[in-house]
Amino acid sequence: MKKRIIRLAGVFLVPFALFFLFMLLSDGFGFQSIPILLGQSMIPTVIGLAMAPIMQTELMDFSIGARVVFGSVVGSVCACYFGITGFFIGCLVGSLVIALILALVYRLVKIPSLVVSFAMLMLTEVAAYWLADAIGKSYIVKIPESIYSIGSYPYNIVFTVSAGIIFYLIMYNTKIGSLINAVGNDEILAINMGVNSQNVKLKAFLLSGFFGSICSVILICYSGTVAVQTGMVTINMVFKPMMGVMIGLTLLRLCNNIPLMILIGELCISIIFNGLIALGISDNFQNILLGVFLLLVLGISGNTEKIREAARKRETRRLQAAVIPK
Amino acid sequence: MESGMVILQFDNITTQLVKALVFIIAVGISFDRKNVKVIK
Repeated sequence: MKKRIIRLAGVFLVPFALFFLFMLLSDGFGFQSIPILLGQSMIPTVIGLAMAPIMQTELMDFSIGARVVFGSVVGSVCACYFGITGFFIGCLVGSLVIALILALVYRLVKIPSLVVSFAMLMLTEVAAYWLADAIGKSYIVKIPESIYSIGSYPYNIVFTVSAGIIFYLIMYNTKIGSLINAVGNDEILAINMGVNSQNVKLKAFLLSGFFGSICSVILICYSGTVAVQTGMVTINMVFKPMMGVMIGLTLLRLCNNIPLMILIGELCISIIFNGLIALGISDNFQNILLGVFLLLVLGISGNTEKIREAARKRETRRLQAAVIPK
Repeated sequence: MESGMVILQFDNITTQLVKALVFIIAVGISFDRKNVKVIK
């Protein structure tokens, strides 16, 4: 019990330690930065929640950024005709439809999810562009202030916390949550036990679509506008949330709560990058650091078993050396 | 293909659409499904 409390405290101490480190290093970074840090962490956190079900089934999805933008565009179109209800339904339908198409293409064409997600990323960007072009001949899609005020800071925190609670309830208290974990751990074993892994993956994509729709709401409400981009630019929205999810999944051993760990992971990322900006580090160098950090996070989270095994062997050798007299 | 699309004066959006479709069709045709137990 004591060990568990120490582990939990350790997990929660990481963002605080980073925050105070950058506060000491930079004059411009301090308690006044907390609203910015929180506000900026919300979109990556919800994107992380949208990526987590897919990543837990061991699939890769780089199209989430394009799906989120498409959901926002559909939501803003529906908001023009049906007001706030249409906005929410539009975001939900826009994100879910693309997630469903992605899942069906993966299932029917039977090619790796990475390839399907790249193709869907490009196609979704084109679809969002055409939709934005059809409604306003502009790359910037806007919604009225009466609508975007409901999802801007600090209400975006409410949306994120609600999404986290829903995610927790689904992943820890429902059959599909357990099946996603089972398929992710060992798909062949799950198939042999009678699990229809293709259905589980389809549901994981749909779950991703649902959380993507919440992110669509937060994204367009952040500033009241969303920029429709092409040329695979929306893939940039994936990297920071992916790092947060990787950190979160690594921290799961210390505290078994995925949404909370993703939030902590995203907060850490947000603190690091805002701290770097406060230190006056250039954009290019930030991108280099982002790449190095991504490699480190992926490398460590992908080799934790090897690292643990090496530590165990070292400990065994140390104990043997202590027991055997020289 | 790139040159052909330039000659046909495709805009960036159409080029991206064609590239995405060609990409998925090419991988769909060439992917070796028989030697893979689980497609990730």
